[in-house]
Amino acid sequence: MIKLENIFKWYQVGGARSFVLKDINLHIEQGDFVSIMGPSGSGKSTLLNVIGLLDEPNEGKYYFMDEDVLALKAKKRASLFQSHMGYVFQAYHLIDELTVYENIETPLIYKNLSSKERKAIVADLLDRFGIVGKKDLFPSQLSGGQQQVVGIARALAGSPKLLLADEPTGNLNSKQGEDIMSLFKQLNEEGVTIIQVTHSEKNAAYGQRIINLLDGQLKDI
Amino acid sequence: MKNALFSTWRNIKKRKLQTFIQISSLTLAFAVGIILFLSASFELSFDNFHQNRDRIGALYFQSQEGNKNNTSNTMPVPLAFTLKEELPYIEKVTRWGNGRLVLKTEQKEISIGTRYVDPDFFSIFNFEFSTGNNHALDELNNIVLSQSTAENLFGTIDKSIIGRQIEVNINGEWQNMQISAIVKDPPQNSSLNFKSLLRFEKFPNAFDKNSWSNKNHDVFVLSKSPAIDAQFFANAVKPFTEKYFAEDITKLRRDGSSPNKDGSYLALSLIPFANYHLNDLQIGNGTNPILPKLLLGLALLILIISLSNFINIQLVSAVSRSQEIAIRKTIGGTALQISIQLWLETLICCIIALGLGLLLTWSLIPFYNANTHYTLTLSDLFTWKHTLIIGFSFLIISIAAGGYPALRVTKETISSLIKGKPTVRNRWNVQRILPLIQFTIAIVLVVCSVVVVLQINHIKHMPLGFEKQQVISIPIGPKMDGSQALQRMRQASSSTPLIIGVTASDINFGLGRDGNQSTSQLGFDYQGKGFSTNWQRVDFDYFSTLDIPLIAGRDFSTGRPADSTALIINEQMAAQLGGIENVLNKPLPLFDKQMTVIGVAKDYNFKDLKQGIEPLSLFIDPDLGFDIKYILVRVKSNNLTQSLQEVETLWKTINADYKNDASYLDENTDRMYEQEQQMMKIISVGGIIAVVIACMGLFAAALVAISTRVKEIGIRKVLGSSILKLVLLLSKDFLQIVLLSLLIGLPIAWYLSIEWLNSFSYRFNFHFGILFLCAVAVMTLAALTISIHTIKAARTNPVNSLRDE
Repeated sequence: MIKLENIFKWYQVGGARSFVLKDINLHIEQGDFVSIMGPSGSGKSTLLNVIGLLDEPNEGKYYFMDEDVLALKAKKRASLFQSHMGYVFQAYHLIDELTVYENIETPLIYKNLSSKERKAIVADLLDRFGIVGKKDLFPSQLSGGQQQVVGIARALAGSPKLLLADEPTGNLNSKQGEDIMSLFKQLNEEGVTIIQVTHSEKNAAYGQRIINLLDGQLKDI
Repeated sequence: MKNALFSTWRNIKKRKLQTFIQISSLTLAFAVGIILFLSASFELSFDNFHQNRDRIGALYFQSQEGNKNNTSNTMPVPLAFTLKEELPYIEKVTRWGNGRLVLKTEQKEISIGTRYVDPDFFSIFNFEFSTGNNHALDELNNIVLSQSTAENLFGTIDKSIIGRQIEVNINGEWQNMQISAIVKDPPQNSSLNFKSLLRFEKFPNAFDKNSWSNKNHDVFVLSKSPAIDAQFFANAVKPFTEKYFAEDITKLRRDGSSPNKDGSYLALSLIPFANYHLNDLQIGNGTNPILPKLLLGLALLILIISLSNFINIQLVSAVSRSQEIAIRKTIGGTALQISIQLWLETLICCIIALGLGLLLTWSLIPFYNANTHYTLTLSDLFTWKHTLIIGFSFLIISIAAGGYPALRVTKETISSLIKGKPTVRNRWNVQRILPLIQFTIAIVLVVCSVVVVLQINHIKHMPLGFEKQQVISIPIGPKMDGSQALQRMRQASSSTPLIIGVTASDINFGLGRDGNQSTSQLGFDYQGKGFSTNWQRVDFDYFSTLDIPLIAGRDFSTGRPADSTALIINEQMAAQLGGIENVLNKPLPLFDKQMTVIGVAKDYNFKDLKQGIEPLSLFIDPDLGFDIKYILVRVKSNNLTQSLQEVETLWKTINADYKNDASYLDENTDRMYEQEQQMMKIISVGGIIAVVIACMGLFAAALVAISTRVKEIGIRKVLGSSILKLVLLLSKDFLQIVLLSLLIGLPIAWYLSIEWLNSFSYRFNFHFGILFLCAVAVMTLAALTISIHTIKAARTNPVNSLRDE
């Protein structure tokens, strides 16, 4: 599903290049549950951003479902993103001005679905994650765990094949974290490919495969 | 769309203060813009209801006298029809003479203004008939009434009025006339106004039907071409002018006039009727053509200020919304989709502002009308043309206000947005340039308003050289003989201690309540050279009543019958004739008579102060055809209102027909500057609004800018910075902008003020101190505005601002 070939990413610091990602070669199959691990500053988030099309590498090739993503035009890339990927953040990043319902609905609006279709999908998600009763609340009225559940629901609204999560449990207590991870496992069993960045061995254990990063390089695959 | 509505509402709630500033400044600007736009469009709409407007022209003479361009729109009686006969370019002509008359029916008697015209008047101009048709003035004894006159006279505008006989008093003579038509009152935007129309043959001043030198009325012509061509006319009419005005031309040449641009000494020209209202040739009741431009310019400037306000606030708050925008991008929103949403939010704000602006306009219009001569209504706005213009401008405004900030924010990359770091900015980006523009405009408007106010006050309070506060001027009216009225008034007031002087004149000072203003000029030859002088009929006690000192010779005296051919001249006149000693007690050849100069009066301003004092000759001879038209009464009193009433009561015993149009002279002289005073009010209010809006923008910009520096302020405080230093640091950025705008704005303001002041003969002392004071005032205002935030920010406890999450 995902094929990275010789990915380099660097920042120009003075005259020298400071590498964030160095010659990454990676292959991820459909249905995988991958955890990216590594110390702070090792390039985990950058790698996830590159995979999630939020950031571009300076060099290398990226094939997503056999398509050369980096050669695509911005518009095409956005539509690829819309239709295949969902993103979950450590800090949830819900839109404060929108209710739970509207937060989940927003990506569907951007996909130009009709209001009837949107209603059906959002109702289904609210039901599935057990947050029907909270649909008219604003993010600030929810606990961290609940916010993250909404964040995941929102990421899944577009029924993506790939779910990207950047430390999804980083801001949660352990009980909430466990709930989120079992949710991920369940999703993976339903066929969603998941790539998560995490610090925690325990969380990584939920996945099938662990990728270790150190100073921008892959370690012992 | 629903989403956008919700999101807008919640954003408004979240950023109450900023949104309030954005919307209220836009509301204010919309209201001001609409009112100014309506005023300008009213000025520009003048006379557009005449189908033939482009084919009509108004005639005037042009010559250069004493290096001054001299235009005059009065024509001799035979000119109109001779011109029509000899110049095939002219299809129709009508003369337009000005007068007053008294109308009498069995029930009622009224005194109104009238115009004397030719039968073609109705086929040249399109005044709508209530009853009647274009042939209304075919008969010599016909009279056409305006609708309001008919209502006043008969209480109805019924058809039965047509054909009725009515008694008309023209210049003291009663005649029977037949009402032939009723015309709807000329619309507000008509240059030509009338209460009744008579055939020109009845014009009392046209006594000498073949005289080419007695000029006393206007002439309008209709050309054969579809658009009248002033240049073509000027060339075609040259032989005509040379033929009939040979004498005038010879005189002009002899007196050393310089020729006009086209080489002629006296040029008959025409001004297209489309330009008749807005001309600077002092023809008709022309309005300065700058006025509509000024109004539109002011509206535009205020809109620009408030728009930059809006954009600026939108930009700074967009930075604080960057995270939301980043999230929207990561969940799949394209730049276009997000831009559209942001723009929709702006559009909603703009629509709210427009709605409120219309409401504000509606509530301000009565107040505006009361302070200007306009009679605007909000419904003027809803003609398709105005709606189109306003709608189009609104669209542009909303696109500029919302589109630019939206595009700029959505262009940023997600990673930079999500970190909440605004991208690196160059020093002079839009956020600095917008306030710069705002304050430049504001300072220009402030200086201009101050200059206009000072100049108008200067003129109002300038000593005119005569007593204006205690002298009442009473128009005698058309029905009474002037000399008789004066005599009776003198007798009546001799027993009243209140009145300490009574005299009379044929022209009023300033512009009285009767709305008449006239000047007489006379050219004469003296010692082989031509001179011209203003000419005023007065009566005994004129100089003592008006407190005008004589600097040589003596006053007119009742004891000397020879004084009836005596002259008193002013200093200017004496100077023109070679000095006081050369002219005192010498005869001057005027009106085929020898009139002796018996005195020289100190110069006084008998015209408005835009013009300097011109040569003036005063005489008392009643037999020269200049009748007394105004009685001037000087009162000695502390209660001027009561004195006016007492004088009016006294006058009513003499003239039962009196219509409350007596007034003090200072009221009359003030009235001459109505146009300037209106301009003063509009500009100064515009200036104040501009500054207020600019400050509102600064206030909001400072609010946001400082909120992003909370952490920095905390660190600086911990490091030991004093509050004053912090306030200065925070204010510096903004004050720099204001300072720079002063540097740009002041020279512009200086230039504009000097240009405007040059149109006055008497100017107040305009110096750099005024610029300096304005600059300091604006600077202080800006500093105060910012200090509201800076002081608050500098005083916050660093513990609060440095605490993590």
